[in-house]
Amino acid sequence: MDELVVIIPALAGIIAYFIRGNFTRYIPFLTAIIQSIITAYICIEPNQMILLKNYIFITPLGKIVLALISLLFLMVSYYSIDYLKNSHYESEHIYSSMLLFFVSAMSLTAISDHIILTWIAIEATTISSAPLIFLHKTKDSIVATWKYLITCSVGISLALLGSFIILQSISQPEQISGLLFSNLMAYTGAINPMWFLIGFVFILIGYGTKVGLAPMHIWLSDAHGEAPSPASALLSGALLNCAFLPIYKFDTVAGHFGLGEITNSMMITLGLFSVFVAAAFMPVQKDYKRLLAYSSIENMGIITLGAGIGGIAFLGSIFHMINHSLIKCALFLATGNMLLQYGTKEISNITNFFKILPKTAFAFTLGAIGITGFPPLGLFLSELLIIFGAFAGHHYIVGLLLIIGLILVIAGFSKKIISICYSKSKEYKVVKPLKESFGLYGPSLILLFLSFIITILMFSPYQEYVLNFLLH
Amino acid sequence: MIEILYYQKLIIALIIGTVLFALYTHRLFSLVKIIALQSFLVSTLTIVLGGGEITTYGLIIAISTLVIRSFFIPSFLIYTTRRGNLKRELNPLIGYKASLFFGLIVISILYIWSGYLDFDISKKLLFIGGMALIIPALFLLMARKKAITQVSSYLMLENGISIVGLMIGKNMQYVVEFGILLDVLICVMLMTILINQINKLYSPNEYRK
Repeated sequence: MDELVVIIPALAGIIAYFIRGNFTRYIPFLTAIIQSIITAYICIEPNQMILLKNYIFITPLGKIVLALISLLFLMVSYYSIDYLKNSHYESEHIYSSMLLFFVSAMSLTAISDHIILTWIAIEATTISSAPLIFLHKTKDSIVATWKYLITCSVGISLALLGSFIILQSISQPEQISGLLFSNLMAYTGAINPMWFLIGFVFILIGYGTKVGLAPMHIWLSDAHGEAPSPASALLSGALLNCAFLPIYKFDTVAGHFGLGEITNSMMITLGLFSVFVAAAFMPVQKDYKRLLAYSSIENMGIITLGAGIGGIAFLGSIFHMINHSLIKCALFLATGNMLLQYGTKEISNITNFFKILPKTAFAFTLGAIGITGFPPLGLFLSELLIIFGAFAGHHYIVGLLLIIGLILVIAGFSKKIISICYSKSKEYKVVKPLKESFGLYGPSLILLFLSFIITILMFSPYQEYVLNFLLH
Repeated sequence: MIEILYYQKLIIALIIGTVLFALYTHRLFSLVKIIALQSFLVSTLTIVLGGGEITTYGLIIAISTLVIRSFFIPSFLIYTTRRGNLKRELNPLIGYKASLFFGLIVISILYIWSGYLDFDISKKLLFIGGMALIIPALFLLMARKKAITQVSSYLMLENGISIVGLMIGKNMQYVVEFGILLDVLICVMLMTILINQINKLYSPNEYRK
């Protein structure tokens, strides 16, 4: 019953919508515990008990994405309990139920093997997360939601068109019984390479919109900035990976038909471009949540780039995906506390950070160091693997450009982070200091600690177990 | 077989006519209505292509698709247009005559391109018909400013994509097709809710004061 990871959150979402009162804020956490147990079972023995075999098959990367979704959801839902206590939303039931639907749709993306069902699931993530962005009901949030809905819906429609064109490129469609990725991989007949490549371009543009690859990234910074922080954490940490999954699957199919070189170079180009776009926009950001959103664009660019290069860089990009999710989620959860305390998203208004919110400040600074790619957290290792992979695969210019891009990103990002952490003012008086309960800072620290543990394990004798889990 | 092809040609010609009308109109009401007609034609095309082989189950799904596509979804838009008292598109980025000209150019290029495609005639028609919707829809999305027009162009885009999707034929399960429609339905519902909120937040009373 691997489908339960989708069904249980969806049912809980329906229940949460109709329940009023404070209890709604506990429903996501209870669901997250159940979902994590099922996910753990799936990770140990994938594809043992699937009912809908015509639609669902769990690939190794899908397993990782599913595990990340469940872990982040567990942390985010635990954080949400204390966050909602402090933030006083009018419509808590909408928040809880939409969060649950969102997780349900993302889980479906992770486990689906059907080409069109994957598309339906990704569109469902757009639909279920749009009300989360609109939760504040301000003018800015309405603009962000509209941008998100229109850009993502239109973008993903193009992905559907791409899927149809790719299916059309198959010369003997009667050989394929259902529209499954695994059937495409088993297909040995001829294809029309030009149609396949045209379809792949649409796939890359379509799902790339949702991944946040430049130049289709325009929705991302607004949506991440306006959503409540726990929702931003899931948007950035889990959703972007989900949207990357179909791109990777189609890339594998292209490799199967001997077109891998062309599709890989498309992915490398878009990935590099995203890194540079993020590097260009980071230094001018005035809003710390938007700053983190641009960092997501950069990191998704690196993941796409690594998957395009392949080999050891692909391993690096899997690591990058895991560590980016953990660290970015931790950072967004920390920004939630900042927003509760300071009531503003302006970087210049954050003063005396370490005095007012010591534990959050610690988590935020550690996460910020990690996200720029410094040791001891995992992004250091994964970026190193991708750069090594680029040079090993004779992509010398790509490797060099990536290094330049990363230097620019570090320069822009750390300037902003230093101004957040160390700006002091004597005039600032805290009206009502926020009590930092464990629920508010614990999840961030746990996520950062996990990223640290994974990195340590990679340098230990248990390395083989980690690799075995990741690649099989 | 020849009869099916005849009806297919007829329906696709009508659909292309609706595209040209949508490009030229400046009244939001007529835009929404023409999109509803277009959706109706696209759903009919699905049934026509099924021909005599369509099963009862398939027919039920096809008819419910038709109802949702051409009555449910447009009625949301019409309700929103009435409620927000929106009448016409003002100051489009690209004028109506230029848009119409663009549409004609796209159709003629597609006609020339169809000579080079190596599909059979039925698939060729579907591909060209779909593309004749998709490209103008993307154009409309960029050229117009009103939210209603953007939603209408999104629907036009979806119509175009479902025409291209008909090329896949029997491999496409009905359940999946219905899933796509459900997604579009909820998406449009959300968009109309948002348009109502926009009308509330940016009400003209603010400017009058």
